[in-house]
Amino acid sequence: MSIKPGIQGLRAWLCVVGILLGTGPAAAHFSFYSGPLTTPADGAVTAAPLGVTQYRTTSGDIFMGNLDGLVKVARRYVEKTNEPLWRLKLADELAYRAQITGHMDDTVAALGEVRQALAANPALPGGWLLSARLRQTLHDFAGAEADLAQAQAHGAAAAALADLQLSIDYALGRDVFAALQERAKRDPGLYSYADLADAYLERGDFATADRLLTEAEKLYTDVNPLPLAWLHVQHGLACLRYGAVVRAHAYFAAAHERLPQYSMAAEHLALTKAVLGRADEALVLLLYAEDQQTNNPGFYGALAFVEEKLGDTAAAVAADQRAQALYDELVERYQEAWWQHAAEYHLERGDSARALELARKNSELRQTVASLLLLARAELQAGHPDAACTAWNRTLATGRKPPEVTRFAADFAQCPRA
Amino acid sequence: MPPRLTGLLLILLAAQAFAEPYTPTEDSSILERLPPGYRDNAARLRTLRAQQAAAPADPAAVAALVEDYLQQAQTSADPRFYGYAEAALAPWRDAPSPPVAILWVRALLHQARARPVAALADLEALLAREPDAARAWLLRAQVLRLRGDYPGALHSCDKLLGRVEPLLVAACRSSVLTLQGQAAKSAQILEKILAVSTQASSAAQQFARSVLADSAVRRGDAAAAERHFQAALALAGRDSSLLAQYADFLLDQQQAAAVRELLKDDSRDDSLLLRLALAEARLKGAQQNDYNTLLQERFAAAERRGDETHLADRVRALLVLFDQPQAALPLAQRLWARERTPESARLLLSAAAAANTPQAAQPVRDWLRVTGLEDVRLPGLLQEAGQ
Repeated sequence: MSIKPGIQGLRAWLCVVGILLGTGPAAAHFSFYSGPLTTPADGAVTAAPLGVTQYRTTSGDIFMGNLDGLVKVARRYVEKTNEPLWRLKLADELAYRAQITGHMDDTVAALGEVRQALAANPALPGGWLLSARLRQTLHDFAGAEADLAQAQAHGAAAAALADLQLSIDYALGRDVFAALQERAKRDPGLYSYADLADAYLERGDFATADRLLTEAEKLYTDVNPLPLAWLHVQHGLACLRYGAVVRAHAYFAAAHERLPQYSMAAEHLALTKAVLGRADEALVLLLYAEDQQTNNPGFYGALAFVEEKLGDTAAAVAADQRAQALYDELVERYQEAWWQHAAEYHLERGDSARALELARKNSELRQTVASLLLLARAELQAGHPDAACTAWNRTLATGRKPPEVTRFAADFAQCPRA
Repeated sequence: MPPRLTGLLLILLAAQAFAEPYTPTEDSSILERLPPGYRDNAARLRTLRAQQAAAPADPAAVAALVEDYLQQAQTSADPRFYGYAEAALAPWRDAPSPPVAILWVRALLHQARARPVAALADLEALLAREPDAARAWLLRAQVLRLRGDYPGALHSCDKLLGRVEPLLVAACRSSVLTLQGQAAKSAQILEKILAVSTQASSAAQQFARSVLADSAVRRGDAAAAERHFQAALALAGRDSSLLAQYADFLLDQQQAAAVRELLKDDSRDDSLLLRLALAEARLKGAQQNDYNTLLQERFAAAERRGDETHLADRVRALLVLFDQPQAALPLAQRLWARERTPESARLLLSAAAAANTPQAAQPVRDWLRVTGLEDVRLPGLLQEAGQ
């Protein structure tokens, strides 16, 4: 099994969109989404997600059983042979499983295995590529680019190198729109279309993104459930960002039905259910999944939101405190990998100082429109209007116009234009 | 006639219904105690029968009638309704690809008559044609749970989300997870969902309460079990499965007199009659022999028909009432091959111990290792069954 994270990465945690859509400190304490329940996008676009009966993929139980089995076999061979290639195999499977379950420990363990394999045999281009992907996942972009250079030096395929470089460039906020268009034309497929769709979303073009995501479904020909489930989540997130909550729910439900173990699908499905007034359904989804999500702050953030919707303030506070503790722990352990997510969370809770500290670090690391907007909001909330305006103008200077920029524009109406 | 003999007479009358015609000599003679709601049910049945008679080839009319029979069998504890259902469905019994409505009631009937493989086959066929059929997913979950296929059962429960009320989904999931070493946790979650499900239907609440009661029994929490049983019984009319479950709990709690009182009017159902007989035996009551004789006759008749619906009850009767462990053991093994439930596990352990055949208990030991099932009643039985 190989890793195919796509430009956006498969670990675009719950809070990325959820909290961006919040309304700042004045919003409810456990805020997720407070915009309109339906917009023209809910009714105007008739495309619906590909259901499990329309396109069959391997059942989630079997798929996860096989994946767990592959991890066990690879681990056994590693213990028995200490062979670097088996370590890479183990790392590959662990990383893939992490994309589904959201377990950070698997990602970190995968990177550890890769580094051990490369220490034993540096002439493994696949190992450097895998290391680059994992480091990118952990937002260690400099490390990822260094790994790419090593991969190139050891003869990695040019296409694989270019693909990963594109992915890193995008994550760092560099302009790769033309390259994404060219790739989608040259190599039409689920990921190339989905990545291009995301770029269109960044430009505020929901209609084109929506069409591309729908087309991407049709280009899929495998039985692996994850890519389609991932695509449905991306489509749901796109709908959500533009306020089409009903459609978003349909896509998250499709993803969850296809691969119930996919944590991102379950969390987003629960949250949209709660937004749509079905918090009791959301609670069922979340409570039964809790045992598998004890280290996932996004999960507890979602649970806090749902509990509050149901009126159980004590449970909401407990879940929120758990989320906070987990964010702190993850920032402590994995640093840059969690700066943005944790900053968004603290901003939403009104912890201005902590949000600003993390948002500043994050914007130094990468200058995407999302990280710059986050910085602007954090500066504003912390009472630094000048710095907020500077960050806001930098946000506008990217030339991107995702829906969040429109949503928060009024907050920065007094800023002098750069 | 002394009042306490009235019930016995009615039981005997019911048992001899097809043997010798009974002609009442007085207008005041009691021929049969009719269950609550009988008039409404009878009127509804008359309508459904008329509809079916008017359109005998109409699958919807047949399905509606069969479903009503099955519902009445469950609520009235009168097994004759199963026979009526079998008869109504006879034209479709072996149809390879009947309409969906027929597949549904045929699956229901198969499950009610302890034919899980046939039930599953019909459910698979139904779901292939109607993947959104929530009740089929729910029944499939129950069948697979009884078969010990917990991943399959959970998968079916998950299919219910968004299709039925959330409490039903939660009860479905907890009913499976409670058998997989998560008794306390799954009960805690279900209680929480129950608490927030203020608009839930009484059927869903009753299902949830029965799952919680069952979990509490196995965890040895008698107070919680009693609370959930009482709540479940208060929610709906008499449900024979729930009554049997509660009677077992009371028997475990050494409350045989309460069982006698609870089931005094429910002896038509073999399962409930067994509980009544067990209570009577504990109390050394005057009707002990009569109940035992009636049970033997019922079980013999079932055997002649090849009906294994009450296999678990037969094993229990052979072990506890008739002291025939050698006869009980092969039946317990057959039951185990059909159902992987805490009850069938306990029966196989008891039969293995009573028949002095410890190796017969091995499948249960293996199953317990795999599932992690928690049941405070099992350690003692495992010890009795030997190594």
